[in-house]
Amino acid sequence: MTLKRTTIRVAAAGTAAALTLAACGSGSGGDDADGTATTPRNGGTLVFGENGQEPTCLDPHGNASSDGPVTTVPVADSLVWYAPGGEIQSWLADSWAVSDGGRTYTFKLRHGVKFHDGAEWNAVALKTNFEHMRDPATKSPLAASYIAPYEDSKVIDDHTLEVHLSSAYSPFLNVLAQGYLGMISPKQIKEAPQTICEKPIGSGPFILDKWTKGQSVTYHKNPDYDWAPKGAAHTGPAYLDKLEIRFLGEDATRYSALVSGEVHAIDFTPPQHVEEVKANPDLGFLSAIRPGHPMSFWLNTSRAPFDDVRVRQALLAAVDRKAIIEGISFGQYEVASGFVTSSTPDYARGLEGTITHDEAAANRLLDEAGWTAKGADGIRTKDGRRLVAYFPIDPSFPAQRMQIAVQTQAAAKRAGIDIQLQTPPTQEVSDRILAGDYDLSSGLWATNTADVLWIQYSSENITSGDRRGQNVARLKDAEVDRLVQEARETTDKAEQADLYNQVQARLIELVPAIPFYDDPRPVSYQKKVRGLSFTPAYPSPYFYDTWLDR
Amino acid sequence: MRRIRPGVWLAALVLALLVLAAALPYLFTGQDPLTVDSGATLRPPSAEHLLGTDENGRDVFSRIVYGTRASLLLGFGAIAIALAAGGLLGVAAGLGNRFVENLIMRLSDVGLAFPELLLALVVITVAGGGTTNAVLAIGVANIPNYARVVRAQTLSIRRSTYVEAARALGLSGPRVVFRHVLPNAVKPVLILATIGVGTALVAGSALSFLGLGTPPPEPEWGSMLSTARAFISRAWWYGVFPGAAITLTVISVTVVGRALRLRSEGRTW
Repeated sequence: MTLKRTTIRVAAAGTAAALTLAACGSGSGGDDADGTATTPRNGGTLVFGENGQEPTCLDPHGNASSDGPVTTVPVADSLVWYAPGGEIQSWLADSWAVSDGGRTYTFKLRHGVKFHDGAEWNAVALKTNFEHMRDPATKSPLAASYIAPYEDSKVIDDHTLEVHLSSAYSPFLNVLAQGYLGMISPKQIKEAPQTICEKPIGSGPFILDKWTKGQSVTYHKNPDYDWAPKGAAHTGPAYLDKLEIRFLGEDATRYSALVSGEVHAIDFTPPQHVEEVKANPDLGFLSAIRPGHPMSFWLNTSRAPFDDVRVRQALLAAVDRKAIIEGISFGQYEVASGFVTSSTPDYARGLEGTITHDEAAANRLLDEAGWTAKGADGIRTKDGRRLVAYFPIDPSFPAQRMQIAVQTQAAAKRAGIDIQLQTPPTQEVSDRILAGDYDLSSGLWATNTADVLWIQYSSENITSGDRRGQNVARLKDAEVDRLVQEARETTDKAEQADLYNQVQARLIELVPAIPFYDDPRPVSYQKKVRGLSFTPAYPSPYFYDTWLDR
Repeated sequence: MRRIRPGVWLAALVLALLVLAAALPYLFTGQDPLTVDSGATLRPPSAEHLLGTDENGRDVFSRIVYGTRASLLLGFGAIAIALAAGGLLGVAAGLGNRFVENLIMRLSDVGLAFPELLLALVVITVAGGGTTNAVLAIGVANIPNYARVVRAQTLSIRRSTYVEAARALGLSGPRVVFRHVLPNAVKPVLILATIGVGTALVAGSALSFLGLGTPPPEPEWGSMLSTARAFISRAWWYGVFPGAAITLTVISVTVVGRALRLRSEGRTW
């Protein structure tokens, strides 16, 4: 497979080079260094280099790829738009009312919206979409769990839908703004649901042409588009005639594709190249911190040694997170200050600086926990047992994660904790995570609500025989459970913020994880690409306002 | 005494040093290859770090020195496996009846139909990664080559006058095979193997490069090269020196192997 891809890429590079040459020959006038043209130009094809996290299914509702929405947002509009800071604005819904203590949402839908296949956007369409997300046949890994409290809905009139939830669920509108819950043609859902994975039909500014697996997804402009969200910079159809999202998994390949002009812009700029991009007068840079849970190492709180909160606190104090993150990101990543990233609504700014690097404190905590004796190798012991923690890592994880692991291992060793890094095959890693057979596990969770703390730390979400949950730390804390549950049920914004602040403070005491960095989405582009932005909801690159300067 | 070219001496010296480094790495460096320094990542070569540091602040020179063992093991170990198994199968095919010969040779045809690295990947997929499995994988992938050459040798030796003579003297079958056929059939192949070591080393590095060989944090040249690739624009030393180590080793093994071959053919070194 690798060989095949390389061949394709080389061929593509040749073609792109030819095109670039042709472009240079025809239009070389009127483009100075900082670009004077400010009136958007119509036309052109934008080629965007994405990383290798290609979704296995382009149905937004069936998508689990952490970078997935980038390929579906051009096609599928969402019910609401999430503005930076957390305000929910109208999009395919003109307005909505919440009643019955947060259990009923009445959506008034926008008139005149048409899907690419001519189907009309109305109350039945929205109901069909909710049912499609819930349908077991969709095999929805994210959308279904994000709307888990959805019970049923009632069509009030052609453009009004009343949605009933089984319990109050305040993040409902936030998650509805994410690309994973984009709206698909009800006609396609009813008549040809098996085709959605290959070629989803939405109402978005771009119409999907073709998905060549392992290679690219291509789109063309929807000329009838007239229902852009308020957060967009213009109205009417998109500027670009065509869009191609090309999967370039190798960091080095993706970056050199940008520099050589094979692609116009790339997602996930490798941190080691960010300074070069910023210093290059022909390139621009754009980044957003993803809301949700920072990249962290979760500590398994359900078994020794991390069942003892002092050992967890000791490890957190032993690790110099700032030095590690600065080194691995070349100063590009922000060190996480707690258990949600700084761009998440209800982020507890007041807790910044609470977590400190303090090796003396680490040693003291371990002494208090009874790990007082030390073996010849410097590893602490208690009742003849060594202080060992097992960390199975998927070898296919990003290189930076392995760097953090290796450096954390070194810091832990100085404190007398032996972290054993293991690189079994991918399948074995996921089996062990499901079975709870690990002491550390790495990951992050991007979502635009502090409800991520319920997803990651509610004891309801510990994986058991019949339920697969995201509480990888296997944290069982009554206080956390109560706070996250109340926060997701309240409709009072101020109270919600207060509850989320309390959980964040509580988690810093409990240390169910070592939070490392707030995961950014760093996009680099050639300067002739204008108006590139993010949909703030996830965030993923947004091409609706994008245009190509000469 | 025929004159030995200085290039061959040099290559032999390099090999001797490499073997020494594999056996007693601490003779060459006082630094620990696993010591992490978060504050000194990707530092250029200096007096403190002769060949600079890697992405975790580890000393590249000591990682190359300590990586010699795993890297040479991949090269020599794999060929030893291929030689042993291929030798036995080749002799069996050369001496066995039509059925045995056909079975072994058709299997080796199937093996030869796949590129060496692809076959190694199949073994890794089944058995999992790690240094030992990588040695095994490359060894297995090389068996068909050696089986084929040994069989051809065996066929000619079988009809040679000294085997006929041994038979005529009434020596037992196994004795003829192990005292007369096997040593003579394998000797020319041994020289072929010295060249094989070079390619096996490269294949082993390729497996580690793909993340399937020696697991981190243990040093190995191929995996160092693989990781270094991401940082090549910032830290040339990290990729260049492990690459140079691989190149130097392969060239040395090849030069010495070639000299041995020429000598066995009765030509000048």
